[in-house]
Amino acid sequence: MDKKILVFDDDEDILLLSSYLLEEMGWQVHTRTNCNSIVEIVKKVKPSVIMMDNWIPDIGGIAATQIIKAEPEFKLIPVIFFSANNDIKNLALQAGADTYLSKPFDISVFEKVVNSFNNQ
Amino acid sequence: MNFDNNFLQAVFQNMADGIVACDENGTLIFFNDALEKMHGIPLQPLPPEDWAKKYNLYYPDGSGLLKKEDVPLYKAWKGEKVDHQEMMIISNEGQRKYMYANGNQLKDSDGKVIGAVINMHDITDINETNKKLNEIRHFIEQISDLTPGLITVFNVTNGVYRYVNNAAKTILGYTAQEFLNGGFEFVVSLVHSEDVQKILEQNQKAIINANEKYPDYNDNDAVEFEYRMKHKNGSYIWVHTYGVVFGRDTNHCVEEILNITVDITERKNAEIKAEQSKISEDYFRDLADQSPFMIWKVNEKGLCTYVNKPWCDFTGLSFKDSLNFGWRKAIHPDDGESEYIKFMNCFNELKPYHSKFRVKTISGDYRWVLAQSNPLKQPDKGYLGSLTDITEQEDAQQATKVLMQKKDEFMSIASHELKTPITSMKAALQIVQRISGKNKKDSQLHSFITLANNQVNKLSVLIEDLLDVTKIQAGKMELNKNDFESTELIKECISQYRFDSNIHKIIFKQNVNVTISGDKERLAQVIANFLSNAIKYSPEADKIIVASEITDNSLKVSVTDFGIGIPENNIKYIFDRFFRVEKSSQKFSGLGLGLFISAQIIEKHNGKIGVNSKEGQGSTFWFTIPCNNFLQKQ
Repeated sequence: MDKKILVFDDDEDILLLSSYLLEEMGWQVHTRTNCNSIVEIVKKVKPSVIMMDNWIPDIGGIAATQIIKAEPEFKLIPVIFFSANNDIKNLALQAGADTYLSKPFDISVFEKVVNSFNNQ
Repeated sequence: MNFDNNFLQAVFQNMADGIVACDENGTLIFFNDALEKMHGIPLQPLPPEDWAKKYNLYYPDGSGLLKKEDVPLYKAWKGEKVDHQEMMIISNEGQRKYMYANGNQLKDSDGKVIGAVINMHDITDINETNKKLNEIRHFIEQISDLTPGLITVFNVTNGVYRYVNNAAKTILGYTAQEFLNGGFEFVVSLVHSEDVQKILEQNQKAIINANEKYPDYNDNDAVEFEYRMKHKNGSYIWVHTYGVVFGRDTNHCVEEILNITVDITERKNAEIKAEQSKISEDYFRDLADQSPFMIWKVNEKGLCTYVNKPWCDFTGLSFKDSLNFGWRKAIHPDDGESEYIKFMNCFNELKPYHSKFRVKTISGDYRWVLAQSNPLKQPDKGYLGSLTDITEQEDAQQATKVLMQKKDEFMSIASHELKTPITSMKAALQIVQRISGKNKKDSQLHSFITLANNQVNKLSVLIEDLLDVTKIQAGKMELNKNDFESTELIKECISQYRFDSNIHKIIFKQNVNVTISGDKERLAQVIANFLSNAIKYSPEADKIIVASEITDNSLKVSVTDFGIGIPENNIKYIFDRFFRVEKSSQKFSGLGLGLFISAQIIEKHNGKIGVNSKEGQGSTFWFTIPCNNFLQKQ
């Protein structure tokens, strides 16, 4: 079973590190540095899990998540919202995300959060 | 001289007065024409007891027929001289006539009584006149007595009062008679000692003036005096006297003076009060002009009645221009309407009025003022208020606001910008740490990576603390509240710290497990702070005890270490911002913010925070959270 994960973050280093960790966990990793034409991307990649950064061009993580969740086809895809913002819990709620991960994170915490969606 | 009988007859018949005579026996023997005309009845030879009835002889008041003994002719016959006896007769036509009767007994040359004669003089007209005079007199007296002024006529040469009306009683408590008896001296004794000299002098001068100026002096010109007199009851009243010349003697010197005196106590007292009020008002204004504040007064109708000099200097508006609603010219157009409404609301409820608004200065620019005013009580009513120039404070406040906004923006950006590189660094180092840990050959590499990792963690915590403190200062730390169990919270914190120290063993003494309503992450932050301090400040010890219990209806969580402890004189500063125990500065790192932030978090939970410590033995840091809805489990 191909576990596909789609990671949105404008920081290339974080994408690099996340990809390493996720691949170690056995995920097929797709990354994007912006969330333009989000619906198209999701349609194309068909991920089982999405990781969304808060500060991502152009429309930002909250709006992007809301769009995904509004699509009947994709609304069941779990979205992990991550951000350096202290108010991350509320932002994730606002976005309609399924869970959140605050930056900076312990890699063990990162793994734990992603693993919770392993059976999807 | 002997007269001819006929001559004498003619004399009698032509007299205007009535003549009646009787003989020595009391029989009527003579009526002259006049008398016959008066009675309308001829002479009849009647005895005295029948005279009154026959000829309608009455008492002068008309009360009844004369008794025989009172009939003048009878009296004369009996030898009594009749001198101006008043009586009334009614003619047969019903006319009432008033008479004087005069007469005597008649004696012949030998002294023998030969009869009596009475002369009847008609005084009806005179009586009528007298009656009218009485009516007029009564009328005048009525006027005089009803006049609310004391009217007197007194003689300046002998000080005697010729006339005093009854107002003497109402005004001074003495009867008119007491005045008349007492005379001028008595009246002067009633004048107040402070006024008497002045009054007497003025009086003298007036009289001399009236005398000298005659005949060019108008006697009707009133000379006026105001002074105090003592009422019979002992109190003093203020009076106003008008005096005019009433009569002059043959040398044209003033002989009598007519005085009218009225009680003006009420008016005078009001004048004195107004004078005092004016003096105090003047004093107030002098004081107000010295004040560094602008002062204003508004009356019970809401119209401005006073502004002080500082206001005029500040705004450039004159005193006159500021009155009523003139002051509004100086208020900023945007503020004028709303402030007026605000003021009127307070005014109508008699509440104090405080507000801020802009006022135009004499140089044309606007400055912020703080208005403070209170309603006045009697007797003034209205409002008294002040204005203080607070432009600098306002500008500072505005500037601070702008600064705060800028700071928030900065914090937001800084927060993100600082955390982003740390995120990459931390993740990368942890990955390398993991990889190097797998291979025994890389053990040195592993230990250095571990070191770097720890430092990144410390850096991360320091930055978090810094950002937290800034948030707390801005009042922006908010709690995200939900319910959770105390044991779960504590266990999570402990498990995190198990990684941080291999020396210390963390023992959890769970005495209670309750559901708390609070910000789980923030409380975890506090416990983490306590644990990190415990580890940091007890490098020689091997255990740390975490305990939870219920005290005083609150959940108490405590962390005990067996380290260096805190010197007693430092304990009260321990939760202050930036405080670090002196000794520790080189040995122990940290910004000194952790406990300050913890204290703020606990305060926001309405809890208490504290420490018990003994130098050289260790410390117990604790906090309590009050239980609102506690579900105690065990």
